[in-house]
Amino acid sequence: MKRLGWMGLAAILSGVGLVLALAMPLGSPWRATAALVFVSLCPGASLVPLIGLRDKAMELVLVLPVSFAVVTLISVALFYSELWSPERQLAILLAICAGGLAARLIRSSTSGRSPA
Amino acid sequence: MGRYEALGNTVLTGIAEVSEATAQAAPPRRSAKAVTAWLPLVLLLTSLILWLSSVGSIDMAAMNDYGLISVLPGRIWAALILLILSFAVCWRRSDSSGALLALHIVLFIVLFYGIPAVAGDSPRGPIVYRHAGIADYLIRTGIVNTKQDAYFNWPGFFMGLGWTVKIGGMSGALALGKWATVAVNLMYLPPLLMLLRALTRNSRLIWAAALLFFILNWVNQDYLAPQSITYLFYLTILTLVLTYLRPLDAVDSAQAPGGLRARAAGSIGASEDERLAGRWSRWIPTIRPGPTPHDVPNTAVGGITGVLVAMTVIMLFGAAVASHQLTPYAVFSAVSLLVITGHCRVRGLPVLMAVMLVTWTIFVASGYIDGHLEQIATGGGLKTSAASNVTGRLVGSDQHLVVVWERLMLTATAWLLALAGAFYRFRTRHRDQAAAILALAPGVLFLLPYGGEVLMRIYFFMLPFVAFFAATLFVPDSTHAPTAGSSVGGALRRVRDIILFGGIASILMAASFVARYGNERMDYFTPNETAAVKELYRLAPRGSWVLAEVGYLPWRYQDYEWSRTDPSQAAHRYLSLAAEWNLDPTKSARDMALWTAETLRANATAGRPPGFLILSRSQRAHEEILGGLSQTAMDDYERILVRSGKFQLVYANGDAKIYARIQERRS
Repeated sequence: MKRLGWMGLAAILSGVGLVLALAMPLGSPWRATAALVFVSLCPGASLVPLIGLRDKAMELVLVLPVSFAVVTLISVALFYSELWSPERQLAILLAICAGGLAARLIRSSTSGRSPA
Repeated sequence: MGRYEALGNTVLTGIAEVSEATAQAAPPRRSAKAVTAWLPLVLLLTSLILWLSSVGSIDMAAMNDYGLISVLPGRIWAALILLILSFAVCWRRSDSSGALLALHIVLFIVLFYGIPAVAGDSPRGPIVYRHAGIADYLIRTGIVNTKQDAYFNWPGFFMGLGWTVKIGGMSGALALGKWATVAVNLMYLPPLLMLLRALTRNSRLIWAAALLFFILNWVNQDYLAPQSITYLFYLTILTLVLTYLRPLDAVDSAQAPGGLRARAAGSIGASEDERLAGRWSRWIPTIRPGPTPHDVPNTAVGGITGVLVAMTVIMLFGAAVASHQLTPYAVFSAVSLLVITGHCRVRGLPVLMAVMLVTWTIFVASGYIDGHLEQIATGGGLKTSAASNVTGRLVGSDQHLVVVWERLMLTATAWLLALAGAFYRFRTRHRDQAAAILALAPGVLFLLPYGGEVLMRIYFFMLPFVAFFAATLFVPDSTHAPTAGSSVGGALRRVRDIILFGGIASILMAASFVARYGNERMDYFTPNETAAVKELYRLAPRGSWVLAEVGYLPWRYQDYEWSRTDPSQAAHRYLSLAAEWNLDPTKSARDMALWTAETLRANATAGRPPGFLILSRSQRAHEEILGGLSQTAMDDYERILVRSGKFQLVYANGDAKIYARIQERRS
């Protein structure tokens, strides 16, 4: 976990939070909150550290716009290919986030140091 | 400087670097230091208490055509002014804390932009409801029907919004509408600070510019809308370009007479690329690297990081291209000018952006372009923009005209302050060329046939740089760092600076308040109005034609689609009396009543349900404020309709009425 840094942890928590909110009979405000946190955080927090900016301030700033951009582009791709469904989009976004986190783990293990 | 960075390079401390000169200055007297330490906290708390104690008492129904200012309690004015003064005290302190200044700006955003959300009952303005309807349509049908209307040519934002609503189990996107303005402005703050950090490292200048940005943002483009999210992309792209994609060499232009051909030539930053660029450089026009500000270190990155930064820029731009019709052009214009002037070394970036824009336009937004091609080709955009942005807006009630002129004066004042600041900075040999270029870049949008809002959009795109130059007037020179005030003269200078900045910022805030909330009487919807629209959807079966005096009411958040040819795409059809009347203003109220009766019956005879007419307070306010249909004409119109016996009142409350067209047998 240390190798993923706190941004990776935030991405995992937001992804797991949304999946749990969908799986369990939680009330509407909880599910809406989990969705908003996921959309604002998860894709950006898992992908931005891969850029390797070495500036935590800038990485933090990028999380939100990158998350929104990824969600938008995946939606556009699925709609125009007539493949859109909420579940499919969620699965793709989760896969992208997992891929980003895996890439960070691989990179940190090959470079032999923690990215955090 | 060092002690802040040691805390972990967070955003706030990163921004709040205090100059070495300041840190090493003599300590102030203890009593003065205690006052300046506690005063902002006391002012801040007082401001919050004043605001919370009075915002619930605003009587929105009592507004006149001056807008929200006409019903604003004095305590809210006091709260906002105290907040600005508190900011000024903090800002002028020699050991100003970035966290405290950020807290001030966050509170300003909540207190200034949050008033309608607390005082009102529902999201303001009809467009939010329409956007919620588009998102609802997309997730309900899964179809992008570009024939529906122009929004579907740039549906990226609505698709993302729709998915969030669906996966979040929300009743609709309207659930996000009420507080969207506050949320969006809070989102702008971090990239704005980083963008300003790429222009200067003078922390006082950065914070002053950030506050001025939020004070001067009166144009109401920051709600649940594609342009508000794409503006976030705009700020982020410019931040990335100015921070990481500048020329790799920290070139002092004054000492580089010949320019650095290879270094500036086209590569993202890998040294191999630079060698190649050098080999082919005779075929590539020379661009001398643009000068960087004296106090900004070169943070450009090369290699794989440079490539990934460029890819991030392209990804953000792609999301903007798919979401909004105007913002990508603002980004393209800004990045192109930065490349041409040597402030961005990735010369392929504008080319790639142009390809993406053209591709989207040809393959996705072709329907819209077809309809406007002649205007674009003949340069009609300039004429249209000039007419609809300037002359076309100087109409309406006497009170509204005061608001319109006030908006023009405020805009001109902001630009003049920026001009004066820019003049001062260039006279004092600051290298603010990039900021100046970015302030001017959006001007080209005036050529596009975008309609009556393009001037406001241009103002918004210019605003970060306008605020930057305006703020330089309050921070004369970075070499004159705030003295610690060991002398009486130092203390007096601090008080003078606080009064000057706090006073001018307060005046600008008051002016911005009038400009921003000047249309609030029509933008605000009462609970009665939202209840009436809800009832309309309950009463009117799918396929009904629904007519309003003017489309300024909280509708279209559901059943957005209409199609003449495809019955599965036929929900409600939305009609506007004002639009029909504008076609022939000489028509009498009787003619319009006849037209209404015939139009709504025609639908019924086509085998669809009969039509409905909804009249409401906000529609009447819209026409009164903007000088549309007169009150007399509308009263006559309604009287004739009722007397005709063809309409039946099916719903009424204090702010709205719904009439149903009575079914009649065809003769």
